[in-house]
Amino acid sequence: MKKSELLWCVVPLLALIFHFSVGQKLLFAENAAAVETNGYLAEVEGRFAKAEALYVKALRVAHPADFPLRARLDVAKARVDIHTGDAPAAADQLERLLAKQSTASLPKALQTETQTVRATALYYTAFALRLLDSNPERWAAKAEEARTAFLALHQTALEHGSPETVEQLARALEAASKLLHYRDTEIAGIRRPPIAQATLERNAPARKLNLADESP
Amino acid sequence: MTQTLKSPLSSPPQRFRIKRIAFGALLLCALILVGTSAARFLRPTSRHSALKFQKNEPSVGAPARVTLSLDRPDYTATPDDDSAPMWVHIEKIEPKEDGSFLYHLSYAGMESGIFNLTDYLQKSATERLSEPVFSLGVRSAIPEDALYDFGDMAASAPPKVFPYSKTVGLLGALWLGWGVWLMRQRKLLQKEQADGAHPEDEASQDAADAGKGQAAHQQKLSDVLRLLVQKAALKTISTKDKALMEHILFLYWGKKLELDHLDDAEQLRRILDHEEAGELLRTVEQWLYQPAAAISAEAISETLEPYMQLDMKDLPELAADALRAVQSEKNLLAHA
Repeated sequence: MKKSELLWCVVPLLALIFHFSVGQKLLFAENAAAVETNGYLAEVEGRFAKAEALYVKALRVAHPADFPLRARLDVAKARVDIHTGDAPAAADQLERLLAKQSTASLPKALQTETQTVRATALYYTAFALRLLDSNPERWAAKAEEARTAFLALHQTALEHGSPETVEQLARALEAASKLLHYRDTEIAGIRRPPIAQATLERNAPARKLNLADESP
Repeated sequence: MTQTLKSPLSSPPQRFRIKRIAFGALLLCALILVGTSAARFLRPTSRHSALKFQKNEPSVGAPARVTLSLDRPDYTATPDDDSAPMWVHIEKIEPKEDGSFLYHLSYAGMESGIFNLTDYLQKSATERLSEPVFSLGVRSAIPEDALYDFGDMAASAPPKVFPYSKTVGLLGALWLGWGVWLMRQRKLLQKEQADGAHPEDEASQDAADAGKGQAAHQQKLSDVLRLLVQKAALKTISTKDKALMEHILFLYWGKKLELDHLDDAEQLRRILDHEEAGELLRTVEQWLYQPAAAISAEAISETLEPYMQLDMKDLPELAADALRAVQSEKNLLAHA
């Protein structure tokens, strides 16, 4: 048997070894990416329920060991959850994600996006809580947490971010600061953001509040 | 004859005209500069509107730093109040050479507007500053009619993923193509080997097959000679083919005259000395290398006719060359 024929016989063996090691991750990532792209398109079109379902499906398809992909999908799902009025769940989910040690190995942009989405989820949670209950003990902690998170992001963006990002975070910081500073009469007088209204209607903050009260 | 003199004032020389235009332009620029500066100073302003928002002013909630000089070192910041529209902290106080003190302050506004530090610095717990010392601006990043909504925090498009399936498919197709090519190469080689194999081996395998094989070889060697003659007649014969033709005859006569145990030079010398063989080789050589020689193709074809019946088993050394010559010719014909 000639060398070239021997090589021809060996190639599929090498290909099989690759396919069942690194290839699996690539294959799973490719399958998940197709679903994720559909989810992204649905999100851009404002079909948040559809987008959420697709992101959940993509999470099922993604390789269990592909942490960056799973983290990205978690963030995308949390972002959609905020729009569908489930901001408290989104905040909790991202808090768990940020608490993981492996999150530090994620790309900086994804880490920043995770923190931004978490801060946004906290803001809307605090907003809905504030609309639900005038007692500052119920909402002030969440609002302060959101303000602190936006402040940290804003400070980082001032050093490394683009002017658009700085301005966007300045708006977010101002909104979170005002949420803390507003009097009850003022907050009742402003037009409610649709996401805060959706969060209020879904009554998720109330459920979360009850759970928090029951915990020791 | 009277001569009228032109007044220099009525028509100034060219260089004076240019100077006047340049002077006029300069004067106009100076007037514009003075006018705009004066308008800036003379514009009616109130105490607050004198301080315009600058781009580097902090937005609501964003902390900022400022340094100012005060006459005493014992000013303190007012205690933080959640309901106050701004907080101020003193970070450091440095004495200056002129007797005043440098205060490094940090502050953040909870509302947009212009704030006077008088309201946030005090001499003691009960005594506040009576005169305005400094004004700070805090801008709003959110337009007045906008909701406090972050819907504009748009999703980022998913990154491109390596097309694994397509790559695997492509590589698989390439691998199959490589396999087909290898198989074809192998078949060709086997065919070559079968065609060029020693007839004695074939004879030992099967007598009937050996007979057929000999016939095929015979046919091929005659094909080669005919082909070479045709090429020579058309003057398209290559140097390599000429050498092959001579080689066939040289080997044939070497074997026939039992000279193949001698070296090539000695063989050639003896063949040329031989009456029939020498005559033939000289004729062919003349015909091949001297195109002007008056020997027709028919004549040489007739001369070579006995050799057309040559069996390849007599000249096994030529088998591969002959086969290649025939094969390449067939390929050329197929392409044509």
